[in-house]
Amino acid sequence: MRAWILAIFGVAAMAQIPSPSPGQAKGHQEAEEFEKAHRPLIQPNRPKSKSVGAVTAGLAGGRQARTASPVVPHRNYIDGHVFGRMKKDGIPHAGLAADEEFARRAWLDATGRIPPPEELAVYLNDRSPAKRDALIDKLVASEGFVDKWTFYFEDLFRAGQRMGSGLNLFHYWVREWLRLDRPYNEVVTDLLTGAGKTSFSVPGGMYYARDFVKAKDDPETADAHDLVNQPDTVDEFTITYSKVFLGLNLACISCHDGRGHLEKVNLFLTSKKRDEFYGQAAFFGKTRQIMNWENGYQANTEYTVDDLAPGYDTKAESIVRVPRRGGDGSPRFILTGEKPRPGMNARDELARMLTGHVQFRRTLANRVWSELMGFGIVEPIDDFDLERYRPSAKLPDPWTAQPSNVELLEALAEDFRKNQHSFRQLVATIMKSSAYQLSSRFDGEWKEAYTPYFARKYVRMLSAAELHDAIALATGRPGKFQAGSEKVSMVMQMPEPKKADAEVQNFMRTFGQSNRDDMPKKSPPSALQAMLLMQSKIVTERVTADKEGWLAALLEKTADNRKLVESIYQQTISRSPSGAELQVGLAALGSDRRRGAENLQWALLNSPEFLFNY
Amino acid sequence: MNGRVGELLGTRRELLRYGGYGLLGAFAQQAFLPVAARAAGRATPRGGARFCIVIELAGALSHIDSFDFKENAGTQKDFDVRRIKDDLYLPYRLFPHLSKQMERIAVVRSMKSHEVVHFRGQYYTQAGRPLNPAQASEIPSVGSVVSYEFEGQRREADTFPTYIGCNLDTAGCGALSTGFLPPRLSVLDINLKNGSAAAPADAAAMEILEERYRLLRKLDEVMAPGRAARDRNFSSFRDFQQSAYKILGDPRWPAAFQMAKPEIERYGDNSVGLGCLLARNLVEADAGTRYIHITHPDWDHHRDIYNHSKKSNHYIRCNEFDRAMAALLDDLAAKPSPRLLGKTLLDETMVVMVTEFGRTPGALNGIAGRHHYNLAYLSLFAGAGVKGGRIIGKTDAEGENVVDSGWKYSKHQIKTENVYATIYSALGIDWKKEITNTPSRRAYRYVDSLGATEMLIDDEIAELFV
Repeated sequence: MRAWILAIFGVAAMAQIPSPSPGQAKGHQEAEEFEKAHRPLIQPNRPKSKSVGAVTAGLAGGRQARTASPVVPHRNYIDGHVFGRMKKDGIPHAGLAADEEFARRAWLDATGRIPPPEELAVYLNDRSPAKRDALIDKLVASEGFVDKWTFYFEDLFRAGQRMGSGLNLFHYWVREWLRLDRPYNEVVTDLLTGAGKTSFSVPGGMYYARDFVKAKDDPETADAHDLVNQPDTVDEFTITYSKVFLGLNLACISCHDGRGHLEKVNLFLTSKKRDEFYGQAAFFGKTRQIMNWENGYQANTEYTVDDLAPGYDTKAESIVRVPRRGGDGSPRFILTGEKPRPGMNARDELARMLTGHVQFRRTLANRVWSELMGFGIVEPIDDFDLERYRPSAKLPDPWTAQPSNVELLEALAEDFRKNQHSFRQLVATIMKSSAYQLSSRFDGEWKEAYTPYFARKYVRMLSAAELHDAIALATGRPGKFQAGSEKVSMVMQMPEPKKADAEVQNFMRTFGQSNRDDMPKKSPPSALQAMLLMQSKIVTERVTADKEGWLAALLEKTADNRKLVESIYQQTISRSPSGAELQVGLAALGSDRRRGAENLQWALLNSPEFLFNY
Repeated sequence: MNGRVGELLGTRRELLRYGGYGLLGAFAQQAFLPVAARAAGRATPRGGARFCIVIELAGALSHIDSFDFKENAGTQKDFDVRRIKDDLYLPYRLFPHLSKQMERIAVVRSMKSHEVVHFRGQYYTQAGRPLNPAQASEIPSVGSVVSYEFEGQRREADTFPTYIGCNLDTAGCGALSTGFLPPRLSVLDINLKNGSAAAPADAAAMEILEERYRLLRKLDEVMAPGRAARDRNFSSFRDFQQSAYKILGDPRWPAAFQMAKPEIERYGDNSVGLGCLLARNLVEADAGTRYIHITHPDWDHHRDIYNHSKKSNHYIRCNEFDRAMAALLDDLAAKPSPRLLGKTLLDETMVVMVTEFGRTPGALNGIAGRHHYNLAYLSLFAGAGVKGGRIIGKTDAEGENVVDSGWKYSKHQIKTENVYATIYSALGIDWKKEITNTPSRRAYRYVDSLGATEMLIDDEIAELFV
């Protein structure tokens, strides 16, 4: 058979073992040679390293000069864990962020927006001691919160064109559960279960329907269902949802057992067999995505979902991974081995087991922590090593525990459970801690060793959508976008940023916007980003002070140059200029006031204090 | 150099003790990047190429309708197939320009890929190795490895980035990152058909940019004391601004984008034509750019491959590529090297055509197209000492299987890895080097003999040069 393929896969097998390939049977000896060569590469020597405890003890008791840390109040249980740990280990930390620093951060983290200057002024003038909590409560209850986190979850759930006509429905469904703060375990249950037509009755079903191959691109093929339901696709989807909801990367064991491969990569997965992966994949083994075909073409992108297929075939041919050689094809939950109860739908049972497991709560808590704090308590956030998770675990040398503060993550997960899986509450709780409110400024010598303690705020560049929308907000020139039949002014409010015009799309891509086909990833800074900010129309046209827009109006109504500079600062980087900055600003206004004002706003849009959440 | 690497390593080890392997994920990659390459296999690179231009036909070229022509039930009447020499036949209708240039071009017909889907296939051609999801986040593109290798060779006046991409944004996998290498070695990807950020400002815009940039620097100076105490990422963006400004402010940059109408017509006003024209200009400018990867999208003709009425078909794509590559080779060959007496720019530039796999041989499928085929496909090489007019490898009568690999490893078909070994070698880079202190602790070999499904030959294709 010729190897032509109808499927489109994002990723497949991890370390692939040799297998007979079409037209070329391979000798056993060659396979062995390959295996032998494979092992040393994936089991490199690791440097001997002490345990976290040993090092922190060394820092605490040794010659380490103790730096007096600023006093910060303990606002909730998070602070007990974060500052308690630092105190125990003698790690110095930053002081609390000033009000301006805190406010901009809070606005960006909760709503993805820079603060509106008037609202910021009200907040800064507020003398109430509880004003930070009050601001956080206001922000997480706002529509901005729904905008920002809808976009976040749509990146995570890869809500894109593959969802076809179900995309808009999915978008409003995500907005709705965020607005209502539906329990997250219920939301994920909706994502994993449900049967019917994706475009009408089960919007959550788009999450898995999107991954199934747009099969039958070829009318020569007899039965489209075979392709739609092929086990490779189930495998891919299983890898994806296990990352998203369980923080586990099962890619390696989707092809081969962990033993002999993963000893130096992930101790937990080392003990897992491919057969156990089959068990996890089998929960979707009976699920069919049936498409609407007309004259050999897919007539629309609606799917009918049911669970009437024969089940996961552990001997099914594979296109992208090591051949399946048989095994147990019955559903078994990878973390407990639990099987569905007789007579129950396997996906319903998966949702029950998965959302009831503590690893589900840890994963989300760690994800949200990473968004708000710069990186996770466990890193990488979708590659937990559960063997290295328990603090009491005896680990083979040179492994050390994976979480930087396991008690903290456990407490977050437990709090999440107690609050009925309230996502909004989780965000608010982290933001209300002093740990979140530390300054990014650290006076004294910073050491990398302090990093895992979260001893200061770690700055992050604004996301592509945040940055685009911040430029629009700062210049008072909203974008014009479409969300379904609705007109919206921010990229962040769109169901799919790929529907923006080419200029905006190019901007978004350059700043790391997910393509919504792969898992979202962080993108490093680049010269291309800098070029774009310098000369993209998204910036240059917006700072032009002609009839529409904020700057023209400001020039018109503000005769005093000093006030002009101050307003541009407040509007753009959410703070007032220092004396020295004011002087530079005034000089810039020089002979041509309008051109000077445009230049000043351009320079501030290009400054780190605009580009970063600090 | 060694001192700096040592320092970085120290920091890294210290950090490793804290979170173990995990912490290296999100923040550490930005904070520092460990790099120390050591030669593992002592390959002897042949050198000779100062530049390399890779043209990727993304979506997969039908090998049997092009440089490994096989007459079959799908062959179109209007192909006008002509014999070039020996068993090299070409449909003149598809390749009117390259038909006259085959004396400059060597065809490798014995290629094989284990990939049969575009995303993975295009990743393979950019990374020079199969996609391994466990490692993908730390794997740099070949172009970034070249940037790393050539960083020490950059001259004061070099402002252009070492690695420039054209239309990589259209590739299934996008432009690959620098992986564990520092972001400054990143590709600068330019899409001339899609309003690229990197396209130069005009004179008036440049004048304003200068004024604004000066102001930005002034503000930066007065803000500096407050910033110093903050996270270093906060101020590191300034470095990128500086290189961006240097590029935009270099008069050679807009000059490289200057394209006269007759030239655009000669190269073709399309993604590959403009890409090749820009590549020629970059090579002529010699302002820091050494490696250029051009993606020519939209070759995936499962359906209606020869239907003239379709917006995308094999005729259109072949004609675009034909015009672009022929013009590029002509221009490079016509231009004397300013560095080497008696040599041309083509002598100093390796030009390579790659594609992710072939297309199904024989009759067309039920929807008048050709599907993906991986057991035989081809690539083209020219310049930098490549002996043109020759064919390496041979397929059977249908173009289904390779019957002669055409190089000294008679039992092994040629792979993408060998293409890159050849490119590294021509660029004077020891392709057997490896980097061992990667975040995952798995050794990164420039050319990895550990393929996706079998052990590979990690040698260059020396037969191209003799």
